[in-house]
Amino acid sequence: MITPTAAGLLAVIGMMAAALTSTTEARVAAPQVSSGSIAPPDGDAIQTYCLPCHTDRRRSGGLSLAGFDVAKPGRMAEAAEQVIRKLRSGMMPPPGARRPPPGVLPALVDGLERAIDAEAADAVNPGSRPFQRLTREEYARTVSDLVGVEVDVTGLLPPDTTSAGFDNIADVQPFAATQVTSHLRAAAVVAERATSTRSNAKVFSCRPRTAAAEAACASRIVRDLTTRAFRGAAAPEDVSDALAFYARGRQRGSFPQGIQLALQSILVSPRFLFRLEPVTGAGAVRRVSSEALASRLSYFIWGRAPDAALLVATRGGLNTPEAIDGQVRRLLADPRSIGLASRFARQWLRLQALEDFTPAEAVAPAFDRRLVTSMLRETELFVDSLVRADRSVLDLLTADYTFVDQRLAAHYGLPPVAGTGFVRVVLPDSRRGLLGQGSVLMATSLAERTSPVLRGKWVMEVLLGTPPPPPPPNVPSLDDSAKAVQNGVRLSTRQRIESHRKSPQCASCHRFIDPLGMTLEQFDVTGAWRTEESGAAVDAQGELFDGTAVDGPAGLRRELLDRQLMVLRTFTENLLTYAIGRRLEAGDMPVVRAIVRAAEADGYRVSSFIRGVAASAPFTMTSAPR
Amino acid sequence: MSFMSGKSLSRRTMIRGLGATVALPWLDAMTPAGRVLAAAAPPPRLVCIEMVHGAAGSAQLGVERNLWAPAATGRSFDLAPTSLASLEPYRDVLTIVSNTDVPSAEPYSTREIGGDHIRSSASFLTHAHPKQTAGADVEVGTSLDQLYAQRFGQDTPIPSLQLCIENVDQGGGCGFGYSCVYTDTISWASPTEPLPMIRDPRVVFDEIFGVFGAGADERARRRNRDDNRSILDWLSGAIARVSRDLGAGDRSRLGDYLTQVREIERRLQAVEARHGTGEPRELPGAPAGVPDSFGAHVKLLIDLQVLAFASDVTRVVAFKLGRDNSNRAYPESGVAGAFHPASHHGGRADRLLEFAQINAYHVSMVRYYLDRLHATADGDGSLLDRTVVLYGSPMGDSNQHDHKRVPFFLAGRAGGALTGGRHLQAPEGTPLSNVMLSLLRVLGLHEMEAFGDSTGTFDLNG
Repeated sequence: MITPTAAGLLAVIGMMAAALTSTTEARVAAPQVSSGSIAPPDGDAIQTYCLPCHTDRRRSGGLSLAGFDVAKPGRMAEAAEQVIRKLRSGMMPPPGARRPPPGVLPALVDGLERAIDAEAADAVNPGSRPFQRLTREEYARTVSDLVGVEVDVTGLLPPDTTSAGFDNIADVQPFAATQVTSHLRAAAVVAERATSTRSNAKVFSCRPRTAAAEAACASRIVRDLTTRAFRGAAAPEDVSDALAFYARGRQRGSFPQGIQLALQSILVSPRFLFRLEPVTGAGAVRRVSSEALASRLSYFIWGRAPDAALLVATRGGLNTPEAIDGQVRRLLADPRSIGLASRFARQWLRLQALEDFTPAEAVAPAFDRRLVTSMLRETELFVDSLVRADRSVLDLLTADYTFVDQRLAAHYGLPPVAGTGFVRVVLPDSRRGLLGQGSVLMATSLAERTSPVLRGKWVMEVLLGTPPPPPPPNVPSLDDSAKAVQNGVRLSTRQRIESHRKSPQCASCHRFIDPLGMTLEQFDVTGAWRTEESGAAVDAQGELFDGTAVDGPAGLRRELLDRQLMVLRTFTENLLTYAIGRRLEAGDMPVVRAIVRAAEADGYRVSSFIRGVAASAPFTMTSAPR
Repeated sequence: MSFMSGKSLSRRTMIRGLGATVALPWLDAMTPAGRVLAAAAPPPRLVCIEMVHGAAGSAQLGVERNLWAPAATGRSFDLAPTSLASLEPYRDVLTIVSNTDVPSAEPYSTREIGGDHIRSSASFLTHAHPKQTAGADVEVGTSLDQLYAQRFGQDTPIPSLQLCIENVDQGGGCGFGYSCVYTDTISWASPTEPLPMIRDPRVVFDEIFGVFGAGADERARRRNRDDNRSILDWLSGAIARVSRDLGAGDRSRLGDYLTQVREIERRLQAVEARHGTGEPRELPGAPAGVPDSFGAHVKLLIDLQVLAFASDVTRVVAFKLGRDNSNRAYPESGVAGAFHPASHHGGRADRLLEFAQINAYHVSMVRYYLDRLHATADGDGSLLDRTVVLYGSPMGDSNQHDHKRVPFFLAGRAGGALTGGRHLQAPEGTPLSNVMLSLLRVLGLHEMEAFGDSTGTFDLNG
């Protein structure tokens, strides 16, 4: 039976991928997004309301729309996507500029999207990236699954370069000598610990009782280890090579020492450290192999290597919409899908910033690292609960519950909770969703005061996908000194921000940024609730860039829900970026929009986004690099 | 000079600062450096330290008040009002060069405006202009430390070390069309090869001593080296084999990895070649991790660098103390406010002085470094005699995000290559690359005619 959900998803798959036949190359006509003739968007609106500033000469905001053809927006895809973003978020034309009558801009942006998406549907372009190296965190999880050893990777491996906020973007991971020595070292440490006791069943799948039985047992162990370590890609030479290392270790030591050396070599093999994706088939656009797809799926949803069931599934051919969907459901239902919370969401939400954050003692005397740990755990449990219950992605903003331990309950001013663990609790309106969580609020603070600017920037970048431009040179910062006083009274953060915004140069950007962050002023540096700052009542009201009055976190949530399409697309962009390990380009946006469209019919459930990504062309295919 | 004749501490005393010492004889190559060095007079050691966000003394009012550069040029300069005051005991080995610029970090086009924080570190040791790209096609220039290491670092097991204090970008710090590597490292092996920097003291310790023979006893150490050698040997073949199934781009990427594997093989051979002499020595226990405090972290990494120099594992270090846009606070400096906001002082006197206090605190880390080098025996003298520490920032007045009048000094005489004891004020508009070019020349790369955007040389002993 095809449920409405499945039908919606299959439509996406159909549009993006299914038309690809299994044997031949891939320039495939896919079904049209919408049937019938598409009326071209109204070009006059661009001419009248955009071009006066976005000329080749003025390039306001770095964008020129000279020569932009609304009937063929795909020819200037990057500019077109920028226009779509700014119009969807309501940020353009800017406050004070002439605006068209209501209805004109929505019609323009709808038309642009339709035209671009229809064009994209005619030519599948999955994009490409180099192979991925296991990130430090993936290495730790993979090794833990493989041989049952927990290693503190931060003391063994150098950190991964981030790009677009994520640590797994393939093309920015260069190779240096440090990586080779680190991998050698880590392999030695892991292999020694994994073989130090023969009771480790993850390694010793058999135990030879006689010398004569050793060879067969070693061979079995090595076959098992290579199969799992190389994620289904072990060749006969891989097994014989590792067995040669076994023989070397056995010759000078014991049976376990032989296995130890074999394991050490397996752990530095390029088949283990790198997610190599062999070229299969011919043509410019190809489906990735079943083995490669198994790894893509498991590292996306779990942040770990494929399990036995996934590897078995590759034998029957994994790269079909039905097989993928079945595995996605299975992987999501498995507790290991907490990787979406701990790996994906943590990076999307920029929570790594907390690793180095210590508030000034004057503003947070009770602070210690355990508070950070509790906050990160709270967000992890919260996001994971949405995955588990398959709730709407919008619940990230609106959920009326969270998870707290005793420390956090007290920190948030909630009724005390019992026990040492985390307990699900119902929240007051002001603290609902991510915007009420200490992790987000602290990651967007400065050491000695809150920063409505950083919080506003976070909302624009992380939730709305419209990061503000960099500040120009010669920008004075807020007056942070204790001497920031007026008539003998220390100025509040709001007062200092407002004086900052009087300069027209600053105002052109900060009128977008600051009011968003100002609504969260009732949360202090550590995310605790406050009603006073510097002796005055905290004022969390503001006026958004489009003139809407907004008050406090609930008000901000309402405004974000009013722009929920942007929130959902931004979530999807980040999810897809993380899933495929490359930065998105303008050409990927039709896929993003299609995933969100399909999820709408499904109430924006988490699973519809995961399934949409897993079925998409960028995830299941690759094209020869340009 | 008085401190030169001061009593040098034994190596064993030095390493005690790291924690419990354990009986861990390692490289037999750890011959007391001086005995070998005296005969061969090996190249001086080079340490390049970058701090971000410029200095209070680069702002107009800061220049007038001598918050960075002293008022007098020549030998009789007064360090007291400057952020360098803690270096007074070492004034005779200081070469302060003021009034130079780093124009390569400035925007070259309108779409680059606003990216000063992101370009800055990439320009510091390269004096080249980073290409604006978020992808793999990053490009700037070969850095000074690497030019030196490629010539003079090849005789030591590790040609050069790259260390840092702040984490790699944690999301949001880099952007505007620039790759995060431009802000993550100051070390470039070639214009397109950024070198990752290590932050965790445990990784630094292992990098210096691990692969090359850590272990409980000599037999175990030899076995570890042999194992790693045979694994590396096998790895070269394995990489070639798996390459066959890959596309051209991925094959070339694996080729890059193979190059690094060969480099480690080379280093391992260098260690082996130096074996058979020396006696078992004591090494410190591995450090526990990244300390919370900035000062403790910096000092620990300095201890490890001094240890690496003392055992002649390497002679070249690039050390990044900060990260652009960092909102870290340095309560030990006496200033509570965060670094980046403090750097936007608005030109106001009170806030400028606060920022100078942070600058002075950072320079006090160099004081610690010099103390350690001075206290460690090296032949008839101390490690300091044959070392030069370069310290500076590619930004000048951080309030303006400019790269003019950048803070810069050299400490140490590099085995006589530098006279020291002087403050040299460059003519207006002199690029810092002229100074770095001249440094490379006096350090032995005599034939170099140009470096980055240099326009000429600069007499460091004038």
